[in-house]
Amino acid sequence: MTTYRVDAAEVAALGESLADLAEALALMGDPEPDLWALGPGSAGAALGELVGGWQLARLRTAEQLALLGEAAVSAGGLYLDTESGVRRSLTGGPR
Amino acid sequence: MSGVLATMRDGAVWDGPAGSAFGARLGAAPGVLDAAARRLVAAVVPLRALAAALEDAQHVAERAGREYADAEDEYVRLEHEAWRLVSSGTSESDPLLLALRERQREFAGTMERARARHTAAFAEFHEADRHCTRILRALADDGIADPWGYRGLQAASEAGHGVGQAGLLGPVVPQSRGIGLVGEAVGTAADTALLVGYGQGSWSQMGTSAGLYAVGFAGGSLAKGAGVGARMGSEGVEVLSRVSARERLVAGAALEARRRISAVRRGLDAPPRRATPSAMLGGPPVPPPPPASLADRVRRAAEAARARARAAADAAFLDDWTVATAVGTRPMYASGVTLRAAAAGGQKAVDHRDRTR
Repeated sequence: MTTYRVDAAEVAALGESLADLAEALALMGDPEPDLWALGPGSAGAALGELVGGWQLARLRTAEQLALLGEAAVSAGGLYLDTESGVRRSLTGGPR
Repeated sequence: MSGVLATMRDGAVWDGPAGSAFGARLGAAPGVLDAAARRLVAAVVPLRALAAALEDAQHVAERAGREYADAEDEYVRLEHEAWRLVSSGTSESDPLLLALRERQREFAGTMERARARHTAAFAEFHEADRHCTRILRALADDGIADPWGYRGLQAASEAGHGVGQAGLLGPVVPQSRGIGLVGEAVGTAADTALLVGYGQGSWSQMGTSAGLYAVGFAGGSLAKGAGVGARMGSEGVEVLSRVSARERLVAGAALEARRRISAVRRGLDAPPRRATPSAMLGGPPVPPPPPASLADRVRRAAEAARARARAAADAAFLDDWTVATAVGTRPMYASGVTLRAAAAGGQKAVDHRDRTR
């Protein structure tokens, strides 16, 4: 038998955190403007590659996290709907 | 990072098929984040060493430069003095001039030593730079590194569109029109290859891959993404950071998700009397309970009984629903419909699965 135990507010909060993380990942941006600080050698370019050279994985992960964040918050809303709908049907709450 | 995500996930009470599916999907993200964190953490030591070497070299170079300049000034001053003495008839063998030349040699030696220290300091820095570069490049060669093909296409896209902007000079420099067209063609070709090869860069692809099925959501995310990285300041638009088109798309999706999350939070804080959380999410509100007449109540009870019977008869529905979610019924979430609409969507997914079996 399938059992459920859901805290809708926590699920929505989880979605918010994931969306924050997705946004931060997506906006890590280009480190190039700050690389001059590493001096005239080649380490600046290497650091740029290290920090920025995983864009494909970064954007795919950000997409996934944005999707999961949206899913979590939407699911939280659906659980709320269910809860409030059932409560109204049982108690005759406000329309 | 995986610990942070696990804490976030475990902090939310969400036990059930959807929660399990959610946890499974979320499980893939920490690997990438951990790898990225390893890159940055492991880079700390060589970067600190490089920073120390750069600071030392700068100190030595600055001091050497100052000594060189002071000695050079003295040398030139003495040369002027010598020229004045020779012009006034003083012989080069004159003790006064010999002493002056000796002091000039001392300052020349000071200049030479300063130059050598400057050169040595730079050599030490370059050695530290090479060492740091080797480590950083080794760290960048991991499982999340962009494939070479992707990097090449990215470079072609940026360079192509950059050259394409030359076309803007068309009214002033007619020849730039052709250059701009070629650049745009190269950039567009690279964008197409990025889309086909890596699934990045297209509005519709973005909407699909990010699960933004609802038109309103996709539109909102695109609109928000367009403004990422800039803001309207007191003196006009202020550009805060360079953000690529692909990054804008993803950031727009995240921003739109946050907007909806804010709406839900408002709903949690103060449930409206005549709306439901799903209505605030953009979906249809839960229909109000029917008039509480005896007949209606009987009818509702009968409907509920039929629903329960149907659910019991189709015991696998929820499991099927979980499977269907994993294969593409995310509209249930993304479109923010009510549970009733979500159930309809789940049935469509089941039908779709049956068709594709």
